[in-house]
Amino acid sequence: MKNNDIFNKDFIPYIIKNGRLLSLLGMLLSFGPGIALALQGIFPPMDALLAAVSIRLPMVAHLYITEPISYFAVLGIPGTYMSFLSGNISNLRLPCGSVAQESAGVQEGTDEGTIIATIGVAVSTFVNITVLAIGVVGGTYITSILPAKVLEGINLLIPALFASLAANYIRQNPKVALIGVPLAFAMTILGMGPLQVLPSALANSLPILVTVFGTMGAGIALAKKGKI
Amino acid sequence: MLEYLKIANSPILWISVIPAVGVVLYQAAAFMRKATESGKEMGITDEQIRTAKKSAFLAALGPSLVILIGMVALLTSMGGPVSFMRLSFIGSVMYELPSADIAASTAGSTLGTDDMTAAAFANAVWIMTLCSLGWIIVSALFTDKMGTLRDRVAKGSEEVLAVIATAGGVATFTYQVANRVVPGPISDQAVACYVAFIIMFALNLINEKKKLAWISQFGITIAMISGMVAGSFLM
Repeated sequence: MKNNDIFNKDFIPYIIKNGRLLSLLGMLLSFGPGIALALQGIFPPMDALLAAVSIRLPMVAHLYITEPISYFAVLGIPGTYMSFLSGNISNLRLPCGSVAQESAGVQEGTDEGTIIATIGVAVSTFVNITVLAIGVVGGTYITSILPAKVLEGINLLIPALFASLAANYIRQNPKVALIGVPLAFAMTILGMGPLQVLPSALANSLPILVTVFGTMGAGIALAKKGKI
Repeated sequence: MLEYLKIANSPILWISVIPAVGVVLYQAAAFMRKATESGKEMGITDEQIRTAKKSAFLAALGPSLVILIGMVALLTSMGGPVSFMRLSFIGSVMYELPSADIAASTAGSTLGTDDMTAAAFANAVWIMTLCSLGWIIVSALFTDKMGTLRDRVAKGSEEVLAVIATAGGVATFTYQVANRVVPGPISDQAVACYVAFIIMFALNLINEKKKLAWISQFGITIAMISGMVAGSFLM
């Protein structure tokens, strides 16, 4: 089989079949603790449940759409299935998928890139769950011996990680960055200011969507003109 | 110990979260095996796979530590099993804490205090579950369609595929940085961003000239830790 066939006729169909099945299974299993409580006769008060859903859902619902769209190009099909089942996407899966592709020297978005991203995301899952498993046993103790300032400082790892990855991508494709970077800042400023008059779901999702699609659109236009 | 915490840390709760975490692990193992097999047939070398694993492992440590701290914050009010599951599963450390917090409040309790009740705990469990379903539903239904759409746009051109991916990377990560820099250009978060950015950019430039393996592997970790240390001076 040719490379293209191995990828498109064997790998991807396997991933889609299992990815979809495991997502549905994951959806059902996510009710585990709720059901375990219900079996012991412990239920949430209905009014409190509805109140919390009505507060929380509008805050996160736009992410259901914007996150898969924004991250798909880097994660690929397998990476997307894995990332949305395992969570912590922007702060863990996406960086690991991206770093794996860069270090292996494969071009992101290509078949080889997708294969390597799959491996990167899988490794991040093993690391994440192992660290949490250690933490659930000894985490309270570990954090009790660390000064509060250190704990606060550790939270700065995530913004620093985002900036490092931004540097990688900007260096990889400076021409696209000439459009993408000003656009990201402009949309952030608009999103925090004037766009706030829009309904909140729109005000929250519009800036990232415009940034992502605007940058991709500009990149595709440049590539088609042969300027990249 | 509060009454509900005995339930929250009971063996039944542990049993109830294991299948969900198990599915995540199973998927990671199965997809990795398939990707390795197919990748080798496609001509990806063992060395490339080894390098990818090593750098992903290193890149995962820092963020996993941040998630761990989030889990510890949840542990005291939500118990071990639920905290462990929620942070290995659909959602994120940025999503779970506020969800539990809001759910506890609407049930008349405050997360992390003595007035938490079993009902407030149950409310938090259900809210964290229900409000995270959207992600997995969208992913289950539309992931393959996003692939089709992208391929239609690229029309088989590797160049276009690559530019879509790097443009996506430029856009999402710069947007995340802008979100932290715009509200306070000299805050701890902003300084962490500036320093990490400059160091990573410089390392990239050096690497292009000298092709140093350690930069490809440790570059991100070095930039990330430098940014953290620099930012913490402003705290």
